[in-house]
Amino acid sequence: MILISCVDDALGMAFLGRRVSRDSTVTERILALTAGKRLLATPYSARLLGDGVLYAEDPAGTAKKGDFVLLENIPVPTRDVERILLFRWNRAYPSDLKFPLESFPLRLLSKEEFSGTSHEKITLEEYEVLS
Amino acid sequence: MKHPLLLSLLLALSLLLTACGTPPSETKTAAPAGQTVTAEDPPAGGVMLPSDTVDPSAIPEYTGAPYIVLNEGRPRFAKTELAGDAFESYADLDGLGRCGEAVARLGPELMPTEDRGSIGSVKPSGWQTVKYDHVDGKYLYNRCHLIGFQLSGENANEKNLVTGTRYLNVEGMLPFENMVADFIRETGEHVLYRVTPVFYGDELVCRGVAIEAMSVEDEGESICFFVYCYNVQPDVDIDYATGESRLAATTLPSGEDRNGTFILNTNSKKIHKPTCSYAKSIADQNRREHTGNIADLLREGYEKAGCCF
Repeated sequence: MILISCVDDALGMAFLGRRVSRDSTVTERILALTAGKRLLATPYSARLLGDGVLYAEDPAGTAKKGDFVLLENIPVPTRDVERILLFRWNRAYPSDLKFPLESFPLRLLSKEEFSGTSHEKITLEEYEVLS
Repeated sequence: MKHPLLLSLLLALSLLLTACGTPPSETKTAAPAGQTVTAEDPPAGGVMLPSDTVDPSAIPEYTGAPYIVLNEGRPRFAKTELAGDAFESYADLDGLGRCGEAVARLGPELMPTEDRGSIGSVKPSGWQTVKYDHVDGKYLYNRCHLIGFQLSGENANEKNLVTGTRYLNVEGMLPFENMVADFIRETGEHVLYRVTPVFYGDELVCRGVAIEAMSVEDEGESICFFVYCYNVQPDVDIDYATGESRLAATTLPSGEDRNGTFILNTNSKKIHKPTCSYAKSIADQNRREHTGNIADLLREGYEKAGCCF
């Protein structure tokens, strides 16, 4: 599966079960990147992503090879991960759920910066998870 | 102080209608009314309980994290407080010139449309201008907005500014303000927001601030928290009664505790060696000779001058 997540400066994903931030530009990018592919997420993300997404309480457990999985407020699995798409907010937020980037043997494939609707600079990093 | 009956009623309402769609599971007694406690009530370990006040005796001592979650993260708003137009309200300063509770129903209509102006004219209670080398930006204290400028556009409002450490401002409060501001900008929706500075007794500098927030239109699905941010600065000891401070004794580097004679510039707060040529040019009114332990000077906020140390 290909994980998608959004993190702050401290790799924080969520605080008290809620995403630390959002940006409509990122949402559009996620939908564009996954167009024509299977995108899974928890029901929490439904208000953000709308229709056309497979919602499941355990999306990573449901995903198959090549599926995209958006993780916002649940722990990140470290098995069966092929790639990681990490959106960095480049801001500081409170967080109690972190993305365990150091748990993966990684190779950075690409890095891109762009402006969001409410964030000056968002960085999208794509990693290959080495086996 | 609120009337006891009103206090009980407010408590009952907050328990029935409290936030995030998940009411508290158990009822506790109300904390003392008001945001000030006597000095005999030291902070102790424990969890914040639902009430209409902030009870410092339930707040654990600072142990290294800039903030802690109170009341399992549930703010104490009554559901009836969610409805209505955007507003902001600031308590009058008390007899000691201290800020009180600031509350707002934040929304895009309150967000600033101009750059922030100067706030240097405001001297919050306990204000001191003091610098430490290890503090980000050098200055120990910032004029901390209770409700951040990015949220309300409030500039030099003395009812919204407290003496807060750089650590409180940047590590404690700012991340929460960022989270709320992003949500409002992205959705155009509203957030009920309350910041309560917590003072002990007659102290002039607050020990911390409690922040509660709840997104209005989705009743806390997006934003819902109740936290306490510590007004501390690592490696600095603060006298909260006056705002005076000194480098924490445990952080003084070895070798700094030697005795000797030093020339002080009381204006720039620099320490010079007696042989330093710059020391000889210090104006008489700013010059003071000190014989004793240099560590005492560092604790008073003096810094070693780069020209001779």
